[in-house]
Amino acid sequence: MQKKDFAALAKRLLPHLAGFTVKGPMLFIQPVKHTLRGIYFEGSSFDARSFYVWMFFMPLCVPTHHVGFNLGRRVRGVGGGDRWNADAPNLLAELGAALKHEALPFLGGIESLHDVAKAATSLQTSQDPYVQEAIAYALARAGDVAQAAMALDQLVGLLDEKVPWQCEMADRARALKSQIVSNPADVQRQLAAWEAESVHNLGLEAFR
Amino acid sequence: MTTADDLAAAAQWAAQHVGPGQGPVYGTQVHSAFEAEVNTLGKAHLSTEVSYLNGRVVPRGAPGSVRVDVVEAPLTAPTRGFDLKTGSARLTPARIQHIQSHIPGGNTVPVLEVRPCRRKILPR
Repeated sequence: MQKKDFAALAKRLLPHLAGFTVKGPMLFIQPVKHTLRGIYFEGSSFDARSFYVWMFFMPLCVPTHHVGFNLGRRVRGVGGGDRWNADAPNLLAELGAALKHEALPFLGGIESLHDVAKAATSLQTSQDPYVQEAIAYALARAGDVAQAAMALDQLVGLLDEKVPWQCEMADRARALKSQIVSNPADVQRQLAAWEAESVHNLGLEAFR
Repeated sequence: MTTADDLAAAAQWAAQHVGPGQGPVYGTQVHSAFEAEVNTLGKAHLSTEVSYLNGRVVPRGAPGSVRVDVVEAPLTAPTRGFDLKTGSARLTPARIQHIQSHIPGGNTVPVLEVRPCRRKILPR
């Protein structure tokens, strides 16, 4: 499946998904404010017609160049498998129903930044630094200084700074932590700048 | 049956289904049949074709990412990764290291080779 095939499929699913829009292989709730809440179609190497479906959310104040699914999961079919086929006779009905039952409740409950932190906390079962980072940054963006500072400390505690990407994540978290108490206005400006950067990197400017 | 048994049986079924062969095209066909079989098992703790980049679950083809054939347990905290090999191909230490450099949990997560088992799987 090519991006244009996914976009066509996504458009056919739109009637099941009020409030969503389509961009390439992604369906997401518009307008995009502080958080991207979406459904992503990912190709499979199994064959040209197979694909996976992810539901996910990402607070955009965490700087990013890619969509990521750590705050999400694959949408599974009735049989429990997670791969879908574009030629399945009841694809639209089955996928539409799965999205309605799984994705809409999952994504629809996330409105405020505190909702983001709460939903991420419910997914934090495995000490995942990306989930902890989302919690901390969402709380910081919400202006919840005390909780954000605590969450940033927890994030640093999860990281192995011998690993370059984790070292970078820790440095950023420490910098944010040091500013959050002394200069919260600067922190808000920084988070807003990262949010704008993520929106730009993901090509979402037109959907705000 | 353990997960490893399930996967070896799935690999054996895939090899039988595709038939004899060799080379990259054959390997791709067996991979496809294997992943279809794993998917058919419908086991929620197994996910096929998961891409990782620096501990992050990303879409297929994200620059720099690594694709793992089968992942056991939560995608963000896998307990094991499995790499299917056929014929003379082997899971090398370099490949293991590459996967572990991106998979959450790093080198604490075992990456294991899956190979068709020797016993014949009855046709369905």
